[in-house]
Amino acid sequence: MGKYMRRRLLQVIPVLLIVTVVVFFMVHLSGDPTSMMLPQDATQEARENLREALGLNRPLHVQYWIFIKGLFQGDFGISHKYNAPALPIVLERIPASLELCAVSIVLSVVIAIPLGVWAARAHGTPFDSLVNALAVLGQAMPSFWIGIMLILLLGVKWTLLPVSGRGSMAQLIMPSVTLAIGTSAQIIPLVRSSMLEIVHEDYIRTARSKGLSERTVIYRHAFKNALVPVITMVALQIPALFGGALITETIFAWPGLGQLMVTGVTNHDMAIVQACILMITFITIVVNLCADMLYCLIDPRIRM
Amino acid sequence: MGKKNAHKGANPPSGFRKYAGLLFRSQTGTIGFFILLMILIIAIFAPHIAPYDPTSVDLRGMRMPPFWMEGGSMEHILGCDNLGRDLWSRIIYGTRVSLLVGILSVLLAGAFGIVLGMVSGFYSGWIDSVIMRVTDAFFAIPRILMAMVVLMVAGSSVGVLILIIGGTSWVPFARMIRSEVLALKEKEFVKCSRSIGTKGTVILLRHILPNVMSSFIVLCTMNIAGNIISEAALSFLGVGIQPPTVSWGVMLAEGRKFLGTHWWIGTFPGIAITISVLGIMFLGNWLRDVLDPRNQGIK
Repeated sequence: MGKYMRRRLLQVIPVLLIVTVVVFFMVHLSGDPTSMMLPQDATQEARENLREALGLNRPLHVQYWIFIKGLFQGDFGISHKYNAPALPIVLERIPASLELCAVSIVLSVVIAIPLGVWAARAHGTPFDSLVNALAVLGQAMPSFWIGIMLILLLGVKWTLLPVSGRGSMAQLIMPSVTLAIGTSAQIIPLVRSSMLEIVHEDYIRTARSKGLSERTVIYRHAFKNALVPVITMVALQIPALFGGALITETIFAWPGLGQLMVTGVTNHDMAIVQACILMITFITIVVNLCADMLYCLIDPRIRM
Repeated sequence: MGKKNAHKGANPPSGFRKYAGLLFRSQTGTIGFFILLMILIIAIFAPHIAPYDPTSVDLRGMRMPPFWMEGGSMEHILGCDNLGRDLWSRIIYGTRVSLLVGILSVLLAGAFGIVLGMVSGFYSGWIDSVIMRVTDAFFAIPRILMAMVVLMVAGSSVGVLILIIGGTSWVPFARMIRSEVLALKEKEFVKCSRSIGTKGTVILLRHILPNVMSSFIVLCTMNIAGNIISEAALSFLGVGIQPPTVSWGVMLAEGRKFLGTHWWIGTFPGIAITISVLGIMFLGNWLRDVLDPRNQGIK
């Protein structure tokens, strides 16, 4: 296991490096930042001076080196909108994003696992078909439309829930449900098919023939093994969830990273955008790494 | 056994009829096929089907509700938006952008992904490591974020949108094709071919490529659905398709502003997206069942 994990950890380094190169070039190609920082009628000389001060006249690789050095020192650039370093502004938003992401992951697992297991046990019955149909429908509906429809019904028509902001439990419900619908729709078919595959295994037959109760067979023997692909799937959903949260946060005015990023793009605030992307990517990589470790713990075959 | 099965994919029984027969035996497959056919027809013949010009403003019809509600009329069956533009006509024209971006971006991503996946799986070694780390990096950066930044920089048009969505969605193609090639490489027919001195590129193109095609087609179909949603999402956020070009995402963004009073403006474009995506997914699921050699039981 140690060897596998060491190799897995080492792989993260080039990935992070490539991410920084991609982000650096994306930001670099975004044009001349001085045009955003100076007033319209600034002289050519003032522009040149600022370019010189920002190091924009140096060769690309030198600029990249400075960029990387800055990242290690926690310097993610200065946001011209907030007129402050970008990193603290981004860090401030992380709790809100993590809260939303965690709640919706938990919610979608709580919805998906029982539904998937029940559908597999009721294989071929109308209940099974119903769960399947719901899962397909959940995947087909774009999350932002689900959000809009929830606002329309729960917020505007029946005025049950607040439609925006963060602070109370009630405000958390709609955005997390919006995200959870799509995510659980992805997980349900996987739980179902993985359960269906496993109930035909020999060790399940053995467990049954030993006279164990159906409950023990399903939850102790089958479910534990069916969980392995589900963990990967949940981990794979996390980047998608951040991407989806971008829109969901905008719709519900949830003050997370996604919303900051969207306003950053609208304001052409490259420092903020860059810091957001790096932060979200970093979180994604860490989460995937954790999923791999968990995978390792659950399925001993991978440790080899 | 491996040899026989593998070649089945290479030379599918040349039967359009066989597939048509299989299609109509599957309920969801049939539904998916007809939905896609319907959308294609609507997109191609939009000017003949749409009752109004999607951009013409009619102040008398401003925010007119759908026909079954009070104040609605059969002249505008789904009602009108805030500027009095006919919603039904706008939805019809919206299929054009959705399908165009969805299909072309998948072709781009597929072409890119299949090349990377095949090279990486077949040659292994350092080239595999490099390609896979780049793939990991692109996987870690959320697609929508990357697309937003590039669109903000490059400006937005249908062409740019296709390039961006295609250029950020190749990762699943590369990963899946690579894992298939890794498995195929060990099959007897590849080893045989190698033993008689066939060149690597010939093996790759002649023996391996035909065998990954079925998974490739399935993945393409599924990704069209995903990319249609991406286009709508980017347009919804205001960085994708720009008005006056009609797109379902733009319509949703406009509808969102009038949720409290005129629910139909934001509801119908979402239904249009859901139906299209559903149809494509049904068709993709059916293709997966039919083309996957592991599911040969449903002959």
